[in-house]
Order: sequence, then C-alpha cells, then structure tokens
Amino acid sequence: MEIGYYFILSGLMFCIGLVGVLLRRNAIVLFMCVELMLNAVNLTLAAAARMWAGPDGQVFVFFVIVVAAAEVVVGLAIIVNLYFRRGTLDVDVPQLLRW
Amino acid sequence: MTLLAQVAPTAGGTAEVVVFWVFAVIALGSAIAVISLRNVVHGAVMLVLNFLSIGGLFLTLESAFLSVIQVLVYGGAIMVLFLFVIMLLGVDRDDLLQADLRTRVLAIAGGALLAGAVLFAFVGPYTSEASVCGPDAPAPGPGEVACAGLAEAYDEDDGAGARFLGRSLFTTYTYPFELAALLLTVATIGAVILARRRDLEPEDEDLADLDAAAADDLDGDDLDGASGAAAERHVAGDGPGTTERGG
Amino acid sequence: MLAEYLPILLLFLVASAFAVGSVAVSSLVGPRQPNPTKLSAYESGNEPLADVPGTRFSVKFYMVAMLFLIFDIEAVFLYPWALVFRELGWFGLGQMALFVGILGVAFIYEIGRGGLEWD
Repeated sequence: MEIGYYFILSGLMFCIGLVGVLLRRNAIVLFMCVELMLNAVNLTLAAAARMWAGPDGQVFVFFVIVVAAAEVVVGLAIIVNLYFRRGTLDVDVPQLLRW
Repeated sequence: MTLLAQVAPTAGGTAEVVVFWVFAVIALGSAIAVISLRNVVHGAVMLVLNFLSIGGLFLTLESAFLSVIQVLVYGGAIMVLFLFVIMLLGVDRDDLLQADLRTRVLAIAGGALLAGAVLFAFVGPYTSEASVCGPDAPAPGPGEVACAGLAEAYDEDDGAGARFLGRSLFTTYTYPFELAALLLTVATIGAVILARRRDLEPEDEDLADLDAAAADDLDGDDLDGASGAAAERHVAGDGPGTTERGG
Repeated sequence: MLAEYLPILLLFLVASAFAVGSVAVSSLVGPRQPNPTKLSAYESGNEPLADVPGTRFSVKFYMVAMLFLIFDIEAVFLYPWALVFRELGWFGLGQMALFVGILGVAFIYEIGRGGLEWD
C-alpha cells in the first residue's frame, strides 16, 4: 500500500474534525471533534513510523493517547461543572473570560 | 487456521489494500457522521466506530500493539467516559447546530482549503509505486519517497511491535514517560476537585456555602444582558473563592 | 501478517450477522398484536409516574469511570515495560517504580477526598 494514502486519509479526517469544531456549538460534540483530530494525527504518526522504520512515531502515538486521556478527564469535568452552573452546553454562553 | 491463512495472501499486498480501503471508507463516513448527526449519543457511537476503524488501520500499518491500545483506551475507556457524561447531563437530543450562515460557509471553505493543501502535498511523491511499503518496491525516483516498512525492524518473535516500542519508550523517552505520570496525576486531582459534589465534604462547609452563593449569584444574573461592570464584579467576587479552593 | 487477523474479522462478521439477523428475524417472524396495556410501562403494578425527561446518572459514575481511565493508561504502559524488563534491568524497575509512585499520589488523593465512597 502506498504510504501517501494514509497521510491523505488522516489529513481529510483532520479537516472533518476541524470543520466540526468550527460548526458545532455543543461542548461535548466539540470535544468529540477534537478527539477526531487527535486520532487523525495518530494515524499520521503511525504511518510515519512505518515509513521510516523507526519507533519514534509509535511512541508519539502512545503519548498522544495518554495526553488525550488526561485531556478528556479534565475537559469533561469542566463541561459537567459548566452544565451544573449554567444549565447549558452551548460554548457561546460562558463569556466572562472573553474580551 | 491454516486454511484461513491460505485464503488470504500472506504478504501485505492485496489484503492490505482491501483492508485499507474498507477501513478508510468507514473512518471517513463515521467522521462525517460525528460532525453532522444532531443526536449526541448517535455522534458518540459513530465516534466509537471511527476509533475502531483507526485501530484497523493501525493493523495494516504493522502496528498491532497500537491497534490494541487504540481499542482498549479509546474505544473502551475514553468513549465510556464520554457516554457517561452524556448520560449524566441527560442530553440525549441536541439542538445546537445553529452557527450562522457566514460561519458555516467560512468553516467549510477553510476545511476544504486545508484538505486541498493536504492532497496537493501528498498526491504524487507519496503515492508513487516506490512508496509501497516493503523491500520489493522499486527504488524511488527523483522527488519520490520510499517506505521502509516495519517488518524487518521488529524482533523475530515480536509480531505486534510491543517490544520495539517499549525499548524506545523506556530508554530514549524516559523523561516524557515520567512526565506522563505527572500529567495524569494532575489531571486526576483536577477532575476530582472539579467534579466532586458540593454537599459531600463536611469539612468544606464554609467553602460549600461560598460555592452555593457564587452559583446563586451567577444563576440570578441575566447573562446576555450583563454589563461589563457587572461581569468585572463577578470576576473579582469569584477570585478569593477560587484561590481558597486551590489551597 | 494481516492474514493472522482474519479470524478476528470473521468474528466481527459473525457477531454483526447475529445481531442484525436476530433483530430482523424476530421482527419478520414474530406475531405482533399490540394494545395500549401491553405498550404501557410496567412499574410493579403501579400506575406509571409521569415520563421523567432526561433521566440522569449520578456524578459518582463519572468519578469511577475517570479513575478507570487513569489506571487503564497505567496498565497500558505496563505491557511494553514487562516485555523489555530484562533488557532494562534496575533502571527499568526504578523508572516504573517512580511512574507508579507518582500515580499512587493521585490514587491516595482520590481516596482521601472520598472519591471512592459510594453513598
């Protein structure tokens, strides 16, 4: 299999996730789109590891998964807190820290 | 099992191409479904499908260990957390796809532009005959890229590549590994602080009062109509509470 | 290489065929004579209370799921470590001890905050 198709596929997935982040206003869906983008990057890294026959890409995938787990734990806790306080998941409503 | 192995070609070859296209179509389709389905739960299930197909693609990339990790952590743990939160908040129907037309057009145009850039960069040099992974690909011409393939980098008995990964992870990447532990610890502590019920801790009664007062204050306020001065007052009023909670 | 995973693919196919097949067959073959009493919710013989909109889980489930995720990650790190343990020697043991120790701080904190008490 030509390695470029993996890069193209992950690039397209990244774009889809990006469009999702820009379009949706629901905080949970936004988060899922970020996960989509992280997965696309993971695919690129694994494909690069295969292309160079080195372990580094795979190790990076490992760390991306770990960081994604930490991010999900904290992010979802923030979303839960936000929902209990504001009663909505719309990311446009909390705006005290915006300028 | 030997019968099964005879049915499919043993070398990467055709089997890899077929598996790649099947999983690629599933991955792209489920990704589009995630961003377009209005029901959050349906979106989450589509995201699971996407994670599983990425796991399948890791298999074709000769990274079976990563594939297992992907299914275990993403498909197993992270999505369970997502679904728990969806259930916890009771949002089984979503509604918030109300970006205005200008935002929508700009977002889709931006995404299409980025996709075009990706296609422009990779079609050609990375999709030539020479970039087929494995030793029997032709030598790359000028401007073309070769793909080494992982089969020879792995040990004889290390089919999944776990030892290959571990050897690098625990020597070259020792510091990031320990930092990952630190990150997870910080994340756990942060989430415990964020998600705990206010009425659970008796020793924090004054704090609970403060939280409740802050919540009342915010709830009673018309958020859309809040003037800048009122917003500033809130920030100032929340300040001490936040610091106290951190300490 | 990929042919080794063919049984998994077959398992997936059989599983989805079973799921789709049993739903399809039962909807095609089974008799259907609905009436209002049959369709109503059964709550131990009482009149069902009003449809509660947005039935919610407790936040306690979230705490447990979160802990599961953290220690899932820890287990995932342990697999490759166990495979290369002999090559790494005492250095490997030390760094994994440090890793588990740091995560243990999070665990002790969580227990201390009552994150695992279910009441």
